[in-house]
Amino acid sequence: MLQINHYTKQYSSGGKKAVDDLSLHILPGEIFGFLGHNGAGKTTTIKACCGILNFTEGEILVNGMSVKKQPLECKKIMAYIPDNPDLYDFMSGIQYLNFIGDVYKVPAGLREKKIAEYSADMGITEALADKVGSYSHGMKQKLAIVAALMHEPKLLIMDEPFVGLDPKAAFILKKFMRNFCDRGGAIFFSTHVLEVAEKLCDKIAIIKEGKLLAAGDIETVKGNESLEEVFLELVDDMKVSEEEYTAEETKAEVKNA
Amino acid sequence: MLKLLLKTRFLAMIDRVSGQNKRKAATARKLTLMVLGGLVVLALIGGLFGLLVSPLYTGFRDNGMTWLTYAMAGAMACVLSFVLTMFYAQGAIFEAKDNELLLSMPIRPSAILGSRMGALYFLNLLFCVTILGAVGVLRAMDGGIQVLHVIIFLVCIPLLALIGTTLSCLLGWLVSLITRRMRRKALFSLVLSLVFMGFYFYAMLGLSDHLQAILANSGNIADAFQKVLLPFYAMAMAITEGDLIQLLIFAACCVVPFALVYFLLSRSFIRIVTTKVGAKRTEYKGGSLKESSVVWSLTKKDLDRFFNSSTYMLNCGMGLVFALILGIATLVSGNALLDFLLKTYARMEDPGALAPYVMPVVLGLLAGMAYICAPSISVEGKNFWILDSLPLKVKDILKSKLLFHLVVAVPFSLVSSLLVVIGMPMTPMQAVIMFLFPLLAHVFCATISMVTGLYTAKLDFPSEAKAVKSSACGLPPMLATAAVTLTPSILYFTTLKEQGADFGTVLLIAIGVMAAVSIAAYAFLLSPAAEKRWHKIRR
Repeated sequence: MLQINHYTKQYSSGGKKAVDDLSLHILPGEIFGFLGHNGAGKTTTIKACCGILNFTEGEILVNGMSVKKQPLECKKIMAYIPDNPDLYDFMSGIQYLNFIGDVYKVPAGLREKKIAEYSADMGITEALADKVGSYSHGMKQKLAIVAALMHEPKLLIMDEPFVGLDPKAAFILKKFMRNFCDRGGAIFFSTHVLEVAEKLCDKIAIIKEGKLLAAGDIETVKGNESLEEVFLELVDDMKVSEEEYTAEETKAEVKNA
Repeated sequence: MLKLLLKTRFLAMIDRVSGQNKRKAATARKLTLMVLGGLVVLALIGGLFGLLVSPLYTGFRDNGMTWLTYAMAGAMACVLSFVLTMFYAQGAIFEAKDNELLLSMPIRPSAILGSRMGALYFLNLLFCVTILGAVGVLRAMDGGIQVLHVIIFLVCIPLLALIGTTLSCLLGWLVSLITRRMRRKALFSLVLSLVFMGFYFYAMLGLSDHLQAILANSGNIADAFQKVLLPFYAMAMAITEGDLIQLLIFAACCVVPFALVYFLLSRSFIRIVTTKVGAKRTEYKGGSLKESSVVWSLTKKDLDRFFNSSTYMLNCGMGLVFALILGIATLVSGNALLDFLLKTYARMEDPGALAPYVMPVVLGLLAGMAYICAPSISVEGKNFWILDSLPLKVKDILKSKLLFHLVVAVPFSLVSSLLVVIGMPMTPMQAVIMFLFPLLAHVFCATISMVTGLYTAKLDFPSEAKAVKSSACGLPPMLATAAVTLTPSILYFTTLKEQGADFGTVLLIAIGVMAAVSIAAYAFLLSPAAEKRWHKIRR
């Protein structure tokens, strides 16, 4: 569904590569988690997959179509939810959803049904008449999620989708993500919440400073360790050893006593 | 702490004025140039004001009432400063985004308020220096001023700025309180701004009459100042007579209300800025949704943004309001208004026959002030990702923005023309030109605005207001429309008239030129070159 081949992004010629020769393959039915520290190149990669950001080298294919050459065709079958959903503050929630429905040419009857269903799931139905500007960050995130699902995309690309969501909405989103992929859709999302990635993802990729460190089935990548341990081993140069941690803990306990 | 906060306020003001982008800080050289530029502008405004009140000053001086000029200038400085800084007070004191952040730090609320009022005071001080300074210069040109009078004059200016600051704070707080629960805040701000502007234009248009009336009734006005506007009377007497008692009275009139307002606001500052009333909520009850075409849906989106922003409407829609006012004025007064304007400003002896041709040119000129779609790409700013991530053709986006411009401008153009046609006697051909010329000027302005908007678009403006006010996008369409609407008249009056050409035919040719340029610009907007340019905006 999403094929990233030797993707390289360099913001200025001769400058540092934000992402260097990244290749990933996300199949239909897969939830693919994209992990990395802040500034590792996750958002840059995600934006390139959505056709928002141009790239220096490589190729990105959505359902076999090139994002560079056929951006509109690719965008029609995917949906993107950014980490900070800056939506149109001057519109009401329902106006925004109707606008998205118009862009994707979702028939009126179907869009009413979808809006009713998804906004009820996300718990934002009552707020749909209010201006988006009056929404909290979490509410905007929920609205962006409902908007992204209206045209039944085949590929969902999400940047930190759980940030700002309340536990119920996060639970519903996780359940939805699973159902979506079970029905043949594919999800590529970035997250810092390793527990979510560990429980939810079929595959993960870990990048550091634009370079791929590990990728594959979650079980293969983490082996017998927890994902947190693997992540810290791969990404964090300042990993605290178990002995050091125990010593620090003992010191703190003595001090408190 | 107050010093640090004040420094932050002034840095923010410099940033607003300098128009720096996020990445670059203003350099010392640019700051110096900015300060010098600011001083020149103030000196020019002061000079103009001096020229304006000069006859008044001479009249009062000859009647032995020089003090009245100071009293009137003081009152005018206060009114001007509080009107111009009221919205600043509302935004920067009561609705500032960093209020809660600062309150979470170990800073006394009175210090936060003090720093914000300090910045406001600085702005008011500039107005007072400009207005009162002009009168001071007029007086100095007469000679024979004592040092004591100069000292008192210099003390009075910073004191006077306190009155404007006090009034701005009170009114800003009131506006903030009123608009807190409003769903249509933009409309309220727009109406309030238009009311103030209306008063301003009313005062300016009838200035010569007002001055005559003031001179004729100077005795009554002097009485009014003594009885009702005591602070200004005291200030004027202190400056002209060197009366220290009056200076003390004036100082008390300025300092006591300011201190009282500062005390009251600082005591309730936390409550004022943290009480989140918010707009009245409406529960969504479902209902049928209407499908629209992609282009019309995008147009509706831009219309929503426009009508929800008083800054956008005021900056890019003034030409439409002026055109409507002109239409109504013509309907009421017939040829009289235009005759008066042409006689006064164009020095035409008998404009009557030309009036039906001059009016479409004036309306065409006003069309240039409505460069509505020029900032429409820049105002997308943080929302640009939405257009970028959706399966939208660039030409559909550009078409929708053009349509948005015309949907707003064309009804105003048609109504204004209709009012003029009803109010002013003209032939059928003149009536056709009356409709077509302004209409084509709007189409011309829209297409040029769109092309300019495409090339000047920046997505990192710190606010929508700044994107709208950016002269880079507004100036070219305004100048181009002025050029295309004025050139035929200039050509007619300088050469073509002598050769026996008909003014109407000249205007019809101009309509043709505007149509041709608009078609060319529209064709460009639909071309791959425009699409390429669009993609460069974000990359």
